[in-house]
Amino acid sequence: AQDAFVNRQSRTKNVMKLVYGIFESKQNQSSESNDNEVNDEESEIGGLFRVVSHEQQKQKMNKDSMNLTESSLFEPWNINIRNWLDPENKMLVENCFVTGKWRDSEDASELLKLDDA
Amino acid sequence: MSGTVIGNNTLLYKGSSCMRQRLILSVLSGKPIKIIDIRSYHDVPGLQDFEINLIRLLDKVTNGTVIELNETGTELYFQPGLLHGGAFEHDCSLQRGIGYYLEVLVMLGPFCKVPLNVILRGVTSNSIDPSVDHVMTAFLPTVKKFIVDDDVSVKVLKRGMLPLGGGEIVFRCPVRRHLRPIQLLDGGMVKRIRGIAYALRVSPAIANRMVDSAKGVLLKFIPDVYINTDQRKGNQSGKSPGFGLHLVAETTVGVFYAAEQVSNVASEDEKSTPEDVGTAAANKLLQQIYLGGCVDSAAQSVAALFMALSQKDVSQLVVGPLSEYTITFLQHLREFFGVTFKLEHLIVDDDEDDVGRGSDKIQMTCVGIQYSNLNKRVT
Repeated sequence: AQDAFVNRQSRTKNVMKLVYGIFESKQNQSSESNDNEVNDEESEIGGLFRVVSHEQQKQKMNKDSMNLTESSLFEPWNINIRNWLDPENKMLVENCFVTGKWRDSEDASELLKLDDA
Repeated sequence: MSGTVIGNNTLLYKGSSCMRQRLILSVLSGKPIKIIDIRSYHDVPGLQDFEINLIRLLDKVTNGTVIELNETGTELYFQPGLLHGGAFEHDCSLQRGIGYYLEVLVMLGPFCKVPLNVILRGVTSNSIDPSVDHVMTAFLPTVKKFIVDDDVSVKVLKRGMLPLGGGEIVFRCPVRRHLRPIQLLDGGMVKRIRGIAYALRVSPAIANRMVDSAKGVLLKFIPDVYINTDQRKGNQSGKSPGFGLHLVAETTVGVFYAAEQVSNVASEDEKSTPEDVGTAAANKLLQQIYLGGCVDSAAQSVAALFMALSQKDVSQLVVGPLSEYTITFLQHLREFFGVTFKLEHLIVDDDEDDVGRGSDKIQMTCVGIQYSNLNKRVT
């Protein structure tokens, strides 16, 4: 789940939307609610069933996240810890260390070459 | 999730999630909050011990706070008073770690009237909250970027593990009139790894076994790994047996990433071996390094708060992927202070250059609201 979360974040082009999306949808709601009244009759299918309104669905979603335990840790509890010795995973972080490859702009040997030129 | 404004500037929320964020921001902004439907449908409805304990702590830090709870504890009205601070002691609930409460004090500390000098008692490390060591090694460097001062400190007097706790720490924090804006765009590269292994009320050899297995992982990445063992005697080691390993990585530009793994509670779960704890801690640290950024992932929210409240100037900060906690914190910051951050992916010019540097980074930019600490006396 953690991987999915990180991936989702890197895939969403717009981080702003991820964080502040709620507020925009809230503003839209006021305009939407007017539309809903118009659409009310349409949402009754065959005169018997009602389409669960957007509003209700949203409330249900909120209910799930209402009483969560809060923790500022990125991954509280000891869920799925990646094995970083795995060559595939190891590759991801190798250059975060001073022992890894430096950026050209910081690499001493690269900078020395510049001096010679 | 998001709150609605009811009369008198009061914000209305539902449910107990994010209660700590809401209380902190309420105290800082002076806006009263009302929370309803706190675990209304749970078997044990209403506020739990650790939350009531948190409210008590806030009551100690402030002056003139009005707290109203209904009989079942499912509704809370909180009207913050003035942030006073000063010296006091507090017994934390054992349901959560001291870190849960300490984080609150870290966020409020610089804005108090009198410098904080607090003794907290309880559980020093568990698996849900950042441990005391985590706050010490990862949060304080972040705080020091905003207030240039060496006075801010955490000291572990006694360690305490679940279930009985018995730990004791001292937290000191100076007061500031303004916070300075920051510009942190490069996290640097990890140059050394340090750590503390502690074994409380169990064989001291366990600490060494943890060190060995953690080193087995970390030495494959960097040679500069040094892990201390913290042996404690008598009541300094708390009331319950347990052990754990705290690791911290320092980068070339002085950014710290911390991670910690503690043993399972002896009486409840499966017993954990020192080797497992050691490797798990090492892997957790590598995960933190993977996330990267200019602050530890757990300290993102502290940095965001201080950026928003700093002087009227642009603050920039590069962080790793935002944690769920930070996302809700940013939403709350907007509700309480009207501060919106500009968030964008950091684009690296050269693709080839970026291989193996961890996750994609996010650049946070905001203009501070020049929150000034009116409580602090001008001398």
